[in-house]
Amino acid sequence: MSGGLDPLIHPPARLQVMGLLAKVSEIEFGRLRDLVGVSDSLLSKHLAALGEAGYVDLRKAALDGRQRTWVAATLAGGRAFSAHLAALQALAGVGAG
Amino acid sequence: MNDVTPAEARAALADLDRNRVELATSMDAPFLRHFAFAVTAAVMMLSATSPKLIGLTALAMLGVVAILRWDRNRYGVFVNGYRVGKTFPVTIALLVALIGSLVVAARVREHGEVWIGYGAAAFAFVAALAASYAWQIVYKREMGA
Repeated sequence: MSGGLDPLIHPPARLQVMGLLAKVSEIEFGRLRDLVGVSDSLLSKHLAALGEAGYVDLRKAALDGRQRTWVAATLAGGRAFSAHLAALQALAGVGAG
Repeated sequence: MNDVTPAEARAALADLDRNRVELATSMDAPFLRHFAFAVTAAVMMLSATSPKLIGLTALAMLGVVAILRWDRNRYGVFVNGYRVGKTFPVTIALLVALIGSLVVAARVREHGEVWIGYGAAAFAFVAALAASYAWQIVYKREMGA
């Protein structure tokens, strides 16, 4: 892929996932799914790929009697996203934000 | 993988901005949330400045846990108050204000002014309430909302 873009992050849904994770400490699976606008199974596949690369961490925790999955970016994931974002911004001809 | 065009890059960035704005605007905390945070800070300050009220520390800790649970349940998101970003100066300013208040309260209490604990708690309440609102404003601005 050209100009420092990360092929693992570039697919639209994964870019949105990493973009949101960059601004929160962690987010619940269902909330992430609704924001990104994909199905449960598709989000799971994306998270599996990002997790395999060490870009995200998943943890399960009970909240109000329900088991929920929480997603957070790892340090490596945060760095990879920052680099990808910078490359995208350079390509788009916009400043860093 | 095919090369990405500038138009595709701009579209991707625009989608990113839209999602972040949607997240930020959904996280407007009600007054009670800010109030609860301020009360927790006041209770913590009171327990720190009045030796007889040290047991209030546990109450303050419970308050913090309750607020965090409420945030996670309501928003499905947890954002660390100490996060690195434009909100960090707000957090630091609050910490400086609270620590400063603690130091002043300790000095004044040495001269026998036992009321100082309540004064410090009142200051902590106001500072934490202001910081809570400021943090939210700055965070939303950072997200483009």
